[in-house]
Amino acid sequence: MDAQLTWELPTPGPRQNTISHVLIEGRLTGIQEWTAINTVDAPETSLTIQDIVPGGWEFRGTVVDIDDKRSPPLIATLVVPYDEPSSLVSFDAALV
Amino acid sequence: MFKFLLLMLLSTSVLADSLSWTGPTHNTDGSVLTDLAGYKIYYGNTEGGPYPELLVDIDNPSVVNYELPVLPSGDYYFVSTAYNTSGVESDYSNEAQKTIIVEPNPPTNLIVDAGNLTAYILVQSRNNIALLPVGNVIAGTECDSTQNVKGHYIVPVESVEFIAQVNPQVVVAKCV
Repeated sequence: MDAQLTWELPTPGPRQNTISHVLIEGRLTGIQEWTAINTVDAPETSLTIQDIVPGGWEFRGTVVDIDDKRSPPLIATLVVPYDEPSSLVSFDAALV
Repeated sequence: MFKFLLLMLLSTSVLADSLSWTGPTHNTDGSVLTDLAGYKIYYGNTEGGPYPELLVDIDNPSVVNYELPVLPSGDYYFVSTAYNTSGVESDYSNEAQKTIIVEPNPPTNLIVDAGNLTAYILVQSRNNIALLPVGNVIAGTECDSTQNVKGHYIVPVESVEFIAQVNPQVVVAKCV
């Protein structure tokens, strides 16, 4: 199962520089630190996480301009459910 | 009367891990070659020569390929010569080049270092794999040395004390 992150880029104001990319970070519920997952160059606005592991996820997106100035981040959460369990390995009925 | 023979140049090529060549059919004076006896292969490490090392002397004129032995990493330039039953050797053939890269064996007996116990899962997106921490590995845990992801190796899931609420199938750690 994949997870897709999507976002809308801001339009730089008169005192803001050209946007370079968006920094995508992530962490699992229970972990304090954020880890860089990928960077997505503007004007792209999505990133797919392949084969995402079941659990509680937080993602953080930060806009970075061409001078490496960074925006305040936005956070998105995702709960990736576990699959249903597998069937019994065997199941029999007998008179005893 | 002594007849000094020079053999026609050969064509040498490198295919995968072997050398192959095309043997001559005539002498340099245009006469038909009837006393071909074998080939010699030389090599050097400089493009265009010299080729000071004799790799092999093949005393069978019907053999036109040779499997390269294990050689140290580097650039190799091969040429071949043909010789007749009188021992007269031809000029060098064209040069064939091969770069040999010897990969080291994977490390063995890797264990998780007590100074770096963080366990990670792999998060793949586009062409990047990120390592997200999920907990700690028990110090001294043996690592699977056959698979290396960004300098980290697979460890048994049951050796991890999870902090994150996750149940992955693959966990990696820094091993030494």
